[in-house]
Formats: sequence, C-alpha cells, structure tokens
Amino acid sequence: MNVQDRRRILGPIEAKPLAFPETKSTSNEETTVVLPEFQAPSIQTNLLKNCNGSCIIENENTSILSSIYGPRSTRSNLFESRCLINVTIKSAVFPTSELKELSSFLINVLESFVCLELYPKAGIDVFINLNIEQVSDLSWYIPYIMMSIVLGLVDAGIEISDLPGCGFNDNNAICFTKNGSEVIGIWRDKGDIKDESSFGDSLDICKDQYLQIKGLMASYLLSKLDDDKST
Amino acid sequence: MTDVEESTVEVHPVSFPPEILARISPDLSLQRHLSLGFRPSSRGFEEFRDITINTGDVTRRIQSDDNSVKIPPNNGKQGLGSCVLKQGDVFVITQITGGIIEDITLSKNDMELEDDTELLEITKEHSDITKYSSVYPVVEINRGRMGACTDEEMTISQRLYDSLLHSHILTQDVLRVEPGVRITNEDGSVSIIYPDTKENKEITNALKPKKKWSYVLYAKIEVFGRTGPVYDMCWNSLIAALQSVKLPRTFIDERATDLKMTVRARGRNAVVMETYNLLCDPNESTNLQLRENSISYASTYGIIDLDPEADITNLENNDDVDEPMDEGLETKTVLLADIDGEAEETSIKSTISITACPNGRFKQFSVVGGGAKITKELLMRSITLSKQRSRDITLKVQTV
Repeated sequence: MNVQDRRRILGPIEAKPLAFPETKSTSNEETTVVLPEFQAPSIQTNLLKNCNGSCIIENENTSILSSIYGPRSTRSNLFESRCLINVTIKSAVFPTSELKELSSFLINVLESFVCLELYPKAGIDVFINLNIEQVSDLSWYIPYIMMSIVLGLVDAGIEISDLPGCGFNDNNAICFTKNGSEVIGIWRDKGDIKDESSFGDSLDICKDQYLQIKGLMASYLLSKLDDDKST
Repeated sequence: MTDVEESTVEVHPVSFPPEILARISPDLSLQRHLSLGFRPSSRGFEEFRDITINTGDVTRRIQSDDNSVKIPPNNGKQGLGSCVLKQGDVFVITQITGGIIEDITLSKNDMELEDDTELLEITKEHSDITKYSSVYPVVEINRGRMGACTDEEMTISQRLYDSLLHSHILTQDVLRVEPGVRITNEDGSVSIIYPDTKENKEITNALKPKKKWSYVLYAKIEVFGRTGPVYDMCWNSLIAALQSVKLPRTFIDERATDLKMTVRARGRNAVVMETYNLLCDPNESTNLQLRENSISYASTYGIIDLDPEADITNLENNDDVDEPMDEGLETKTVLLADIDGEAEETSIKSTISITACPNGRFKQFSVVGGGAKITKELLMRSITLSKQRSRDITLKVQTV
C-alpha cells in the first residue's frame, strides 16, 4: 500500500536524495576543525506579527528564529495550576530524534525559570526554527537557542525570574541562572567526561560565556527600552 | 403612570477607538478607512508592500572561493538554492533541495511509433506538457500549531505546482542528468571525466550505461508571521530561489558501469541491471537553466465597492438620518493592490491574481467574482500594475 503522505506534494517515491561521496582527503581537516568561538550575534525581537513574542539570533552561518505563542488556553480538560510549556524545534540538518531530545531538555530548563504559577490553565508554546549550515554538533547551538528563547519570552511579556543563559565548551552546553551560582541544565553530545578537573575547567569557561551572553541580552533589552521610550 | 418620562432611555451613540472597531467590525473599519482615501495599513489604494529578496544565503557553498570555510556534506539534505523574501511583516523562506530519479518515461524521439500516427496525435497534447517540469513544493505556514497541514497550505502547494508546470519555466531537458564517469587511473589516482569535450564524450559513451536519469527538485517554503494571503509571496520566493539553484554534477564509478545480475524467477532467467549509485560531485556544479523569458512574478488585487453609508464625510454632513441616503450617491468601486491584513482579507471577496512576466506576457490570470462590480477599467488597471510590479521584482532579484 502506498503510505506516502497524500496531503502534501512530495514527488515520486522512487526518487533518491542526492548523495555525495565520502570525502576521504578532507576528513583529516574536518576532525581538526576548530569550533568557532562564541561570536556576538545580531539580535532582533518582535519581528513576527502573528505570535506573542519572537526573536531572531543571527551570526555568520546561523539563523535561529524563536516564536513564542502564549500564554494561551490549552486543549487539556484537566485543571492545571501551573502553565504547561511545549518546545518544538525544526531543522532540516539534524535528525528528529536528536531535536526531540533537545526540546525535552529545553522544557526542563525553561520550567526552572519561567514563573509558571502566574499562568494557571495556560500553555506556552515555543517554536524554534534553525536555519543553519551545519558546522558542528547540536550543543554548539544551544547558547544561541537559549538566547533566542529568553529574548522571545521577554518580547512576549511572559514573566521570568532571571535572565538565564548557556555556555559551550568541549561538547558541554551548561545553562546557568542567578549570575552563575546555579546550574539549571547540562547537555553533552558525545564522549565521556574523563576527569572531574577538566569538567570543572569547562564549567568555568561556560560560566564566563554565560556572563558575556547575559551582558549582551541585558544591553540589548536596555537599548530597546530606550528606543521605545524615545518613539 | 408618572414615570413614563423616567423610563425612556436616551440612546447615546456608541463610539469605539479605531483599533477596537477594527476588531469587532472589520468591514466597517475598512470602509471608513477607504472613504478617507487610504487603507487600514495606511498604504494607498494601489500601493504595494515593500519587498526585499535575498537568494543563496542558506545554500551549501558548493563553489566556495574562500578556502578557510569548509563545510562538511550535510548527508544529502543540503540545499541547492534558497531565497529569503520579506514583504511587509511577512517572511518567506524557500529552500530548494534535490533528488535523482531514473527516467522511465520515453521521450518522443525514443518512441518507435512512426506508423501509429493516431496514437501520436492523442499523446501529442500530453507530451507537450511533459516537455516541461515542475518542482514539488511543500508550503508550511507557521501559526504556532502542530499537526496536519491546513487547507490553505495544501491549496497553495498544489497551485504552485500546477502554475510552475504550465508556465513552462522549467524544461525536462535541463533536469536531465549527464553523468560523468569516475576512473581509477593506472597510477591509482582517481579522476572524474565529464562529457564536456568530444574526446571525453567518447570515453563516457563507451562506459556509460543506457539508463537515463533526471533531477527532481523539491521546494520547502516556510511562511512566518502571516498577515494576509500569501500565494503571491510563495510564488515570487520560489521563482527567485529557482534562479539561484546550482545543480551538482554527478558521476558513476567505472566499476559500477556494467554490473549485471542474473536472477531466476518462476523458471525463467532474467538479467537485472544493477541500480547504479549516482554520486554528486561536491566541487562541480552547473547553474539551473530556466527559460528566461518565461520567468514571471505574481501579484494580487482586491476589488471592493465603497459603501456610501460608511463614508465619514457623508456622516458629518447629513446628521439627519431620516433623509434617504441612496439618492444621488453612486457606489464607487476601487482596486486595492497587494491585499494584506485581517480586515482586507475577510471583507474583500473579489480578487484578481495575476502572474506576469516583466515584458508583458502573462502566465496566469484569475478573477474571483465575489459580488463586487468589476469593470473593464479596473481589470486593465490591475494588468498595468502587475507588469510594473513584475518589473520591480525582477530588478530586485537581479541586484542580489
């Protein structure tokens, strides 16, 4: 039986995706690729009109768009005293299973700083669109994704207890809050943590990056506030 | 019965601020705006939204001049071309990806049907359109909902597919794969020979299998921040993205060119040719050749009868409501270019959609009656505007 999705025009089933040969000569280069350092991205909020809040974070080859819908009513009939958060990540580059895992990770992180009690019986839906050329593993993008979600939430006027952020070092993406005194999430793509001291080092590096990101977000929000006042 | 006077209720006219009126009565709000000579978005009647187009931004850098940027292959999902279009507050991101399909449909030349003229005549009409090709579009309009695609997404996808096929922009020939052959030389080095020169052509012809392949193109069109009808934006974005498409060249490995397998099924022997693995060259690509004079851009128009009763100037002059209003007041019909916003989308039932080339050739023209008085002048005006708009967009795409 034809199990193809008939609602969409997906083309002939026999077609094969374009296959590129495995580049043996450049494989050495790839392994030694130095991951780009954290680059201060360009930020723009409030650019989509049909959602409550949105934010786009862009740098050279990354463009991460978050759109926040809510707080709005949920479909569930149960009485929920707290707000339900849902995160959906879309990307053509990463496999869906990885994206699902990341979205449940992000839900956990979000639940630790969004003031859920203020929005009973409501839901907040976060949609993330990754338009990227793949340069590295998913963890490298998490600081940018966190940034776009946090600024999107601010744009939507949803109350959060702090400006949390995330740093990246050595396959670890560590999310902080409260000026770096609290860790709210750790994501690791691959590899074991060999010794504790190296992890401690990368924790410190991530913390520095978090403080840098927090500074960026705060200065962006303050400058936006000034702009709004002047207009 | 003394409280008769007290019980009479004095009716005060209720007035709403403009933004609330726009929510509770979009059509009245629209009429009020139009009577003042502009639209709810404060655009003029025939004013289009500003449009910005960027192509090739998200594309995998197949021919990168900058050697420092090395991007590993994206597991065959990489984009061949792309376009980011912004019109007003709406973003449309189009990404073109590709695939390869074995060609089993015979072209006219391959058919051995010289005698059977009747059959040829029947198939003629069919084969005219099979000379042209289309892309497979999937439109996604982001509204913060999950699940199945909406009617609008399905309709736009189908319309894009049909329009592209019938506007003859893309021919089957340009999508035909001319595979090269990867040869391992005597010294062990590997080189790829493409049938570009005569000498190479002989080599590849000798090695090449008899099968034929074609590229298929897919378009993923994502709409962000939808504020009104989006068909024209999707079309323009698709056409702009197609112009940035670079098709990678493909090759077959020498060893795979004459693989044959004998299979035995129900007592019969049959020879099955191995399905060839066409590989794409990461370093070589060609631009997709579109039929330049068929490249066209879409625009939409709305037609609406002005309601004289909603005219603010009339309201101020004739406070006496009892006076018959419809005497001496002719309903005027106006043409609005580039419909956008909730009020215009819900209240305007008569629309014109035109896809035009900048040189004045038309690829699609559709009118939805919808009850408004569509005059010859309005139709002519919309045609003139669509040509101007098409020229304007062409310039924007070319300057990218």
